Amino acid sequence: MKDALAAGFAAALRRSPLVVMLWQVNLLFGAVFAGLGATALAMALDGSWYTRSLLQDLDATALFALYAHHLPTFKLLGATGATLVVLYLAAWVPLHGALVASVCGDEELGVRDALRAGAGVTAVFLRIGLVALASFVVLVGGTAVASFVGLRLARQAVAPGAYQAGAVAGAFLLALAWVFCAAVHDHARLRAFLTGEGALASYGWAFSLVTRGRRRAYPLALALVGVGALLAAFYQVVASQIAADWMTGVVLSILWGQAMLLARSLVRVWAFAAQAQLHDERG
Amino acid sequence: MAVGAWIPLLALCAPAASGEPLSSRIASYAIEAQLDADTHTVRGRQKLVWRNDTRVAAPDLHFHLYLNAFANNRTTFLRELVAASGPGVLDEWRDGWGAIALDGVRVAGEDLTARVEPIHPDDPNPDDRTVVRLPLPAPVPPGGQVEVEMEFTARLPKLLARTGYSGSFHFVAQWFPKLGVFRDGVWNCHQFHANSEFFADFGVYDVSLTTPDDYAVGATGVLREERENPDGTRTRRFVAEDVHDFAWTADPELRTQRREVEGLDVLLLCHEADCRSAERFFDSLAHAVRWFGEHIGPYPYPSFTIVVPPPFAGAAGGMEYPTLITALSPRWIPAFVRLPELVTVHEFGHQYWYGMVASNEFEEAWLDEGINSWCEGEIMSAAYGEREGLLDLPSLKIGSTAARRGAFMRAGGRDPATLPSWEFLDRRSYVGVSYDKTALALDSLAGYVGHDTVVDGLRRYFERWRFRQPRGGDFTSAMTDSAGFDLAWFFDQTLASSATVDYAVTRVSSQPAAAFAGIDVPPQPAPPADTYLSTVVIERLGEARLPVGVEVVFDDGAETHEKWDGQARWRRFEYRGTQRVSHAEVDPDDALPLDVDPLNDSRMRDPGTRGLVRLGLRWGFWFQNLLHLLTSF
Repeated sequence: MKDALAAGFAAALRRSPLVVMLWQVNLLFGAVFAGLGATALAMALDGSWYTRSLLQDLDATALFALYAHHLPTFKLLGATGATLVVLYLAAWVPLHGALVASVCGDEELGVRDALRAGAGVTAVFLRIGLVALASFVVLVGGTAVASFVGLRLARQAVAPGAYQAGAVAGAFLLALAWVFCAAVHDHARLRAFLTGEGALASYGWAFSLVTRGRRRAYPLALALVGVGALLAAFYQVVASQIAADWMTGVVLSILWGQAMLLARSLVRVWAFAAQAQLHDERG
Repeated sequence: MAVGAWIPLLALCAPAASGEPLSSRIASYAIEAQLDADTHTVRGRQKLVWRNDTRVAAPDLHFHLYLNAFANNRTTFLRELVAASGPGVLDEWRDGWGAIALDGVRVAGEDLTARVEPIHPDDPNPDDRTVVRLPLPAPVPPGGQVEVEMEFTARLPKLLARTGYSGSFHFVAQWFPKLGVFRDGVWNCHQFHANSEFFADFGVYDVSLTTPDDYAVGATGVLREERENPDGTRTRRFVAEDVHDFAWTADPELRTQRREVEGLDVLLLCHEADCRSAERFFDSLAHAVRWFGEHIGPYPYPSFTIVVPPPFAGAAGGMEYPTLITALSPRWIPAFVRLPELVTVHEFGHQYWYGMVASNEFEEAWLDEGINSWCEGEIMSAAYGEREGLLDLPSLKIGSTAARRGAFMRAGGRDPATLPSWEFLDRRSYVGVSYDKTALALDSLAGYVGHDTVVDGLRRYFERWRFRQPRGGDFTSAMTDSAGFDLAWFFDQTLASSATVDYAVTRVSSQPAAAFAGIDVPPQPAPPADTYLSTVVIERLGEARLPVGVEVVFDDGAETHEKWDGQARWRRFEYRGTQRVSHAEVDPDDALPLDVDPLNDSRMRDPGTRGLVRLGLRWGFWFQNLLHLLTSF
């Protein structure tokens, strides 16, 4: 696992143009949503002093008033955001193809070549995505239902704190289930690209890989999630030192946030590169 | 076990009392009760002594049997609760029914059990048995008194609202047959409603409680005696003087901590995990005791008890009883969210507004909830900060007034505060108006007559009406006396009406002043260069007409302040000068927090962008993180 992590990290660093491209796509969607949000806010605030003062003072009264009086505007913003999410997820099907092509290729592909290769597996990746979504719904949904039932039972339990313990355990199980599904999904895409197998066969192989503990696929996925968590914690520690109540502070805060997102894109590439190390079919 | 077997002497005992009475002690109870923890049942026997303090003879007595609100799904209480919260509210509560049965009723030795009949003073609901009438063999004359002996069996409900059990935790409130209030020849004894609370006469409660030996018990009043019984139970006798209700808790898991807080003997009962945060209760209570002592009056009782229901019994939390409150478990609430503190402060405040100043919570909930909410806000602001009293995060802070404004804006002003509690549109409106709007009205009054005047008015109200039962007019009279001028116009619009308060700056413009042109009058000297005509228009969008201040700020930072009586629909202010108006704001000092839309209170000539940039970029960043998360699957 350590070798996979180290090799994956080195491979991700060598693919920095791809990392930057993935971050740019994310940034584009974020910028669109930011613009829509600012527009909605401008309509709701209608030239009030808050259009300026919210910079220095995130006045709770103003936020409550926005909720109370302009909820339809922000529901519309939410619906637009949901549409953007769907578009983004659709765009990421071939982008995942490019990512996988980049980390699985014998030679390091340029971004254009990776995108071209990724486009070629869009159909099978889309089918894998649907299979993954179905299994995700079953597994995570089952975990959620089991947690819910457990909570309901705990609510009736005499033991003090059983309800809270159940809630924490349920949340923990949900997180583990999420990581499990993500790992299976990643390995299925790698398998499909490397072998040309169909969606079901690839997914079944990946499910077996992660479930049976071969090659420590699940611990590797957990380790990569841990890296992401450490990154988020580091971001938060630094971000809490930046006062975002003046324009320079806002700019610094956003730049630091983008640096974190760039790093997360690197971790995403790292994750695929490291997981690709577990595939014998890789050249 | 038969009731008579374990309380042989009750019928001979009158309610114990000592010291100089603080109240008129009209209805006093001696109760012996035993908890069967396995069946969650309380068997009790009580002797009530009631004195007719009116000028009219009473031919009957009316009693609350509150627990019958939980007897079936057609009671007025549960119908209203389901209507407000949806049928799902009862999903987990199946088989949680509770009820109280009168096993025996005697007056002067005569068995009157068969004469007891249910009545429905508020609605014609035959399935509701929360009020009964007891015709008396002879009317109680003015100044006369009657003694009533009753035996009852109270089957506690699963905890749904305020009273009942969850596991081994029992909170026993509204549990005994309780007399209504005889006023002006009529019994004031309402059915139990989903929104309403309580109303009763003062008296002495002498209550002996028998529970399993390993159960910790906390109750209204002072523990006077405690003894172990041969059958493995323990009996504790509590006495509470000059109170109008009695509640208690019993649970083997409860731990006790006793502390002197601002000179007050305080007992905290909590589960182990909650007791770790005991300081949150003691600290917030200290702030409340100090504030009330300094501003309103002394707390006169010898003790105070805080019960912290565990999270799985949260339905018992946040409730007030004389000398005892239920708080909010802090187990899962971080220190920067001060909800446990807020609940403690609020419920302690009810010792004044409800406990001592015993207004009718059924009919005028605003009198206790609204006034108490205002005091709670004062204490939370003084103790933890005006802007961060409730939530204290680096990037977001919420104070009491902001939270209250938010709740009121969300509830909308559909009902006047003076409605009986069960006649509000829904629970949101009841809480938003009774609690929040009333408190905001007092904030607004403070903005008009001064903060100290409002505090002085509250003190007058307390001093006049402690240990009595005031009505709304008594409160407004005290406030008027404090202000020194009539405030009926204010209270009529803010409390007795659903009129909304909404002022808005609708126009801010500046144009170069034009030189004179025309032929009908002699030519005027040309205005100096760079002179502007600036216009600010303020509109009254709501129905309420209250005076309001206006601040106008010019480009060079100069300010001018205007006052408007708010009577007309709009008012225009014009300014000529070398500076253009930068922005204008009504109520710049937030002296009128009843205004339902603070967003339209100000307007800039050229709208700013910095606030939009900050929030827009932040939302964009959060959105990017969401997208990252979704594509990590």
